[in-house]
Amino acid sequence: MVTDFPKGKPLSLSKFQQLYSKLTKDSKPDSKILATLIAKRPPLSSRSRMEIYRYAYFARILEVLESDFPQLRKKIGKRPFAKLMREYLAAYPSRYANISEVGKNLSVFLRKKKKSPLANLAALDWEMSLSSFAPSIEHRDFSNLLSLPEDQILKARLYLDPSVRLLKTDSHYLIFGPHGKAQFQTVTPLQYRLIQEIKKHQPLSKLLSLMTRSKISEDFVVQWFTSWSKQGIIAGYE
Amino acid sequence: MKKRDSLFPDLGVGIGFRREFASHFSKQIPHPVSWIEVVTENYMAWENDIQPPAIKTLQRLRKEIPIVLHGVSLSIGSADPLNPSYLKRWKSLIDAVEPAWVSDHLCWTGVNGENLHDLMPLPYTEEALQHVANKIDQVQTFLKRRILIENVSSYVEFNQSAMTEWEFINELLKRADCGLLLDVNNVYVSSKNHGFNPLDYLRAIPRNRVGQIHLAGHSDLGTHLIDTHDEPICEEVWRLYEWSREHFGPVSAMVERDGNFPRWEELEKELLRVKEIQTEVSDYGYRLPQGKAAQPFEISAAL
Ligand SMILES: [Fe+2]
Repeated sequence: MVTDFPKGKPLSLSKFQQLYSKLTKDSKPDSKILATLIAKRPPLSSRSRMEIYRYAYFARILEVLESDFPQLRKKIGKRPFAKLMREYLAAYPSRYANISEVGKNLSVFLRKKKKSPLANLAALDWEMSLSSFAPSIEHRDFSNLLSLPEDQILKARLYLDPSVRLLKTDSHYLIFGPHGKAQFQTVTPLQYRLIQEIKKHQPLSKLLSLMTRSKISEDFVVQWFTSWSKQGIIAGYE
Repeated sequence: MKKRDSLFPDLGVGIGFRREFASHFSKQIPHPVSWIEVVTENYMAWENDIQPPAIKTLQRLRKEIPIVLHGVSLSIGSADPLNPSYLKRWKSLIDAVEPAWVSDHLCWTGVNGENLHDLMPLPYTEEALQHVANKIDQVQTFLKRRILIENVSSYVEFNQSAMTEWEFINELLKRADCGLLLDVNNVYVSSKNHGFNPLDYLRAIPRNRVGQIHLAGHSDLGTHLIDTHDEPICEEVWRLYEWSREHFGPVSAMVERDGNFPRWEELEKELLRVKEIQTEVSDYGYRLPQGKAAQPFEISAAL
């Protein structure tokens, strides 16, 4: 039984956990708090014992962030990335059940720090990570769509692979990864708008009116849709 | 004759289902697996997010095999109250998957709404005991089912603890009327890190409260052990499991592997060993005479 609690009133559970959290997160753990909370148990010192938790806490989250933000990490380097993530966690501590949600606010954090290019990169990384996370669905052949009567074509609604995501920062991005491997491509504002409308489940009539208004050549449109279907971005119609 | 009156069914041999070996489950459930455990949060909807959870695989597997949900973020030991959003999303998942039972850890993962994503030990005090018992009671009332709580491995002890971990758990199981997910490896890891006899711990656990057993590997760093789940299960833990099987009777037991993934055949060997131990011991807790460890032994001497 542990009996060497210093004389005086024991800490409340809440106070205890606040101090312990501080030990876990601070860059240098406070010796006084350490001595108050952690029992001395040779051969390991209290500091070494606490270090196991301090290391595990940050290493576990950093590993997830490194995997969710590969382009950002590559851009700024391993050590500066780790330092930046410490700052990020201090500003946006995780309040999420799933550790994969921790990076949710990174681009907002970077934007507030006036680091726009990095914020854009983080936003793209994040969308790609969400894209990979999407469930896979069965794709349906829709080559017969154009052989349907015109009124049915106009009423048809295309649907996208669940991995498709859109992002507008310094450019318009289309992100997708039908097999769990997300990739991105820059698209024109019109292409972006079309995908957005398909995502909203709008009928083909709405898409056609958008294209007519933009006076885009029919050849281009056919080329886009053929390519999107070949790449697995459009998954079918209903 | 020892009679087993457990509150939980014995489902046989299980494994912590991970995507690294999911392909082995795509055509049929590999022998000798008869149930699986999955991490709750990996399939739960995200907070304030309409993104659907990837539970299709789970629902397919559920048609063939019992599933249990094992959480890491309930934070039952946190001084914070329970998180209503978490409970709601957990309940939706339970309704979708219909697990055999659900569990989480006897630990706290953060305070003031933060999640440090680590399983941190509690100070073993009367205040913490009553607080955790109350929270478990609230969870069980909300879910309308009894839950299991797992003992965690630890690397620190606290000055203000007034009882041992096993005294705390024993009392908690009574007060909260919940079950124990007994992680034998965690008992072993903590026994080495804090210098106690693992059998003192195991003997103190009420037999009918053990609903599930975890077996896993750890890393030996010389001065201490770390619960890494990335090594094979060590011989001492196997012996503790044999002892537990004899003492607690038929309890669902499973292998946890979370890193340094070996070929499936290696995991299969461990699963077969679990099966062998389960079969060697009769349902009444007596080791059959032809069992390979039939002679009496005292594990503490071997550790
Ligand atoms: Fe475990």
